Amino acid sequence: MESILEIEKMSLQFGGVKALDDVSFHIVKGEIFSLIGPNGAGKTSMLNCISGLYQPTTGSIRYKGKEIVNMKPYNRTKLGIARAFQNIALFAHMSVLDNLKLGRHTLMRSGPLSGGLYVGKASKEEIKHRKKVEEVIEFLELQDIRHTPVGTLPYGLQKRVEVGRALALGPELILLDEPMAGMNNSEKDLMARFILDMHEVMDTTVVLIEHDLGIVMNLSDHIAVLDFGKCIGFGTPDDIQKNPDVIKAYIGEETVI
Amino acid sequence: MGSEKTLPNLLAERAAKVGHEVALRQKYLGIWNEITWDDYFSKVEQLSIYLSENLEFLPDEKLAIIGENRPQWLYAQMAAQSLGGVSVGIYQESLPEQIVYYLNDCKARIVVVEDQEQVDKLLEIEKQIPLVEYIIFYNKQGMRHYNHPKLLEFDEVLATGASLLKDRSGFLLYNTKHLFGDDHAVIAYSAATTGNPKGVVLTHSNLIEAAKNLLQVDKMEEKDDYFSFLPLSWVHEQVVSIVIPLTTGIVINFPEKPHTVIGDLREIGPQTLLAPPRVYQTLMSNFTIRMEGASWFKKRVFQTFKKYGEKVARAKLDKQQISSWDKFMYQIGDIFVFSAIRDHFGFSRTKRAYVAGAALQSEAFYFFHSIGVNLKQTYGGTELSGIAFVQSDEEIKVNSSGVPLPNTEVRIGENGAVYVKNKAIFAQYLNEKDQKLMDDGWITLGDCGRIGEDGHLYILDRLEDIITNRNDKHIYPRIVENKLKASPYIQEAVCFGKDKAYVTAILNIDLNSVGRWADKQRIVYTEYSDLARNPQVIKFIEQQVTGLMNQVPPYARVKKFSILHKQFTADDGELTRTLKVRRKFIEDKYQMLINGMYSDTEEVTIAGLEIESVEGVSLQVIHLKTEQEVA
Repeated sequence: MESILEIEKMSLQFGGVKALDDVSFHIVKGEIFSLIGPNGAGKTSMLNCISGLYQPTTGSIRYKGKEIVNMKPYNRTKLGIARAFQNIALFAHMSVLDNLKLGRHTLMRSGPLSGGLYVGKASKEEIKHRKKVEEVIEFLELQDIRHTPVGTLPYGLQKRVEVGRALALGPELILLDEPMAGMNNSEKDLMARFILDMHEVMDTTVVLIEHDLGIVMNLSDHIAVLDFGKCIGFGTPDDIQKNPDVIKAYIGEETVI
Repeated sequence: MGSEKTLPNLLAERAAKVGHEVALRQKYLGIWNEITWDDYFSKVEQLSIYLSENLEFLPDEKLAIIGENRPQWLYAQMAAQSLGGVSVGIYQESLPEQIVYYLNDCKARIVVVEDQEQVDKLLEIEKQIPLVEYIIFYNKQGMRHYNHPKLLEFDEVLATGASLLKDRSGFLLYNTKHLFGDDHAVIAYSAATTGNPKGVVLTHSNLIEAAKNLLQVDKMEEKDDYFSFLPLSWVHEQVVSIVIPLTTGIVINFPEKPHTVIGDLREIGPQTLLAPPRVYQTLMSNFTIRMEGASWFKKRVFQTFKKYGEKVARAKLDKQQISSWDKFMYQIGDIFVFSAIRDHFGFSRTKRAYVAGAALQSEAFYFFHSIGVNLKQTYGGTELSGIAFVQSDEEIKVNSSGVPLPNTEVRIGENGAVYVKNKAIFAQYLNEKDQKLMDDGWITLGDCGRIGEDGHLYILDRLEDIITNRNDKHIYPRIVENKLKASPYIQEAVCFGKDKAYVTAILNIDLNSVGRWADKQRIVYTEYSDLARNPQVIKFIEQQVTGLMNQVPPYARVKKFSILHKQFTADDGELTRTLKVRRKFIEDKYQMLINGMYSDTEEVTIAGLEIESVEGVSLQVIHLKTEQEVA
């Protein structure tokens, strides 16, 4: 099995706090991979390192065999890594369509002049990108709210648009930071279906941070468990459920009364 | 053959004559994709040869179709018909057990379905539908891992069909030569407010005749737009979406998804629209709600011109005189307000909007005419190939169901039933046991009505629903119910009172408008059942009902009513798929509640209905106080 992303001996330190401590795991191409762990375990920090918002103190991140640890975030995007944020990072006054188109901004080539005048290659490019965005709209069933400003949408839908913005990039690796947080059960089911389809239909590798362990166990091919910055478990859902360290981290240690 | 017109014949003619013109539009990925008559014809031909060669589809065989309105629906129907077969449309929301009934009743061997949802439904009931051998689906999403032997994919079928056609050119034309107007074309299931749905067999001639008659009243031009969003299994929609384009060349537009209908309708702005009353009511109530939330200025402007709109509507509908000043003000209002409202609805180019399936209440009628939408009531039914009566543009009357179409005769039977006779009347019922309504070419749909001196048909109610109270007075529940539904806060009402001293009603409140009212009153609620049982809401609805009942003759007034804890739904069997009330079913299901309304109790606990109500739901019986003096 070919790894798409390899994290090796990575540490991230903020002053005296070790947010990530010597973490190593790898993600196989085309799988759904989940990062779990209690609050403050370093899950989001890990995603920040992968997407390039944080620079790890030591260690390496290899994407398709290539070292990317010193690469700027926008260059990582061009390689095919996209991310949806836990706190919705959309432009509230812009329509769903515009927000999604913005997701493809780094891929646009035409300059402000030709783009502004909508001549020559710019119009062709616009059509091409619009088509990609429309595919995402179709995929996530956002047709009826295409022209609605994002700020007026209910939370669950905004989350979906947030995922859509990342997906619009047509990424090979998508990082989803708690895409189901704050959703009710039926919204969660729908999102889980979208995640499965991303992986099956679009062949995207998905990295998921999620607190709902039922969903994580059902969806994931592999799971890494973080606790106080350390990777305390890595394996298939079955392995993780049997791992004593994980059980300890989640349920606490057996105490003798 | 000569005069033997069939739908595939007409398609072939049209493709030969104006092959490059647009026949259909389907919105996909945000774009209205155009399909020409040539494309339409060749898709039908590809599918048709596949059905014939690879699936051994025989003349008079039934092909079932389950799905949303899509070009593929039309291809499937036309392909089956071109081989002498019959298409059977099944409502896509049907529950699995209903599908079992339909498929076994019509004995379909091949089913064409929309997507994964329908495929799952069919595979779930696979054992109960042993006759089904092939399932052809046209939306691939989510279908990657399905490799059930019965499944076939629509596009692959067409591709295979195209390669089969290489040495068989002219396949479709050759086949259509062997078709006759009397051939069975479509089986439509009647909505069945009582009992099981009946399969109604319609011939090519029936459908073409129905279209022809309607077109004599309302001329439709080539390239006019029509927006097809009601189930194609409904015969009214069949005639307009499939038959009329073949004879006139109007363009049929299909929405992107069911939930995008409102926006897509606006983008198309069709010349002709067909919808049941509920659609118009929803549009009106959404508008009222939006207007309440509008800015002070907008409200003020609308209020100013509204009264001129109402005057003009009354002038048109009730033939009242109107001053030139009012006319002038209406023109101004039209420029500033009404045209904008029409545009908002997608009615800016609408020449006519048909109301079909049931009667629309008068308030909505006045409203749409006041904003300049030519709303027309129709009367018809599955057995009549859709519309058989329509109001003419010059003579629109609020309570009438219109005048008979050309070549259509009407008479009122001794029991008050409306009998109709024309050439569009269906050939037969699918099952012998259902043959009872026909009488020397005359047929009744079971509605009771009268013919006015103006020649208009006035429908009173369904024959079986008329209530005879204890004093032998006839009460038409539909009229009382429509009165109740005139309140924007009451969505559905069902009245009872057979052999009783007074009339009672079960109500459904309108979640949108009552919800909004509740927001304003700072009433906290979670969902429908909570809102419906809120004491303040009950009080408010009581005021509404009291006000409305003053307009009803005393003996027909509702004296007690109860607001149901749930909305009537087709899934629970309380409504038909075309959203008509199934009175008998409701009467049986809520017998306890109805009995309660004829006793002294003020609260009825009904149990054993749904999972939710394991311990029973208690519903309040509201006794209208003003009634006491009258009764």
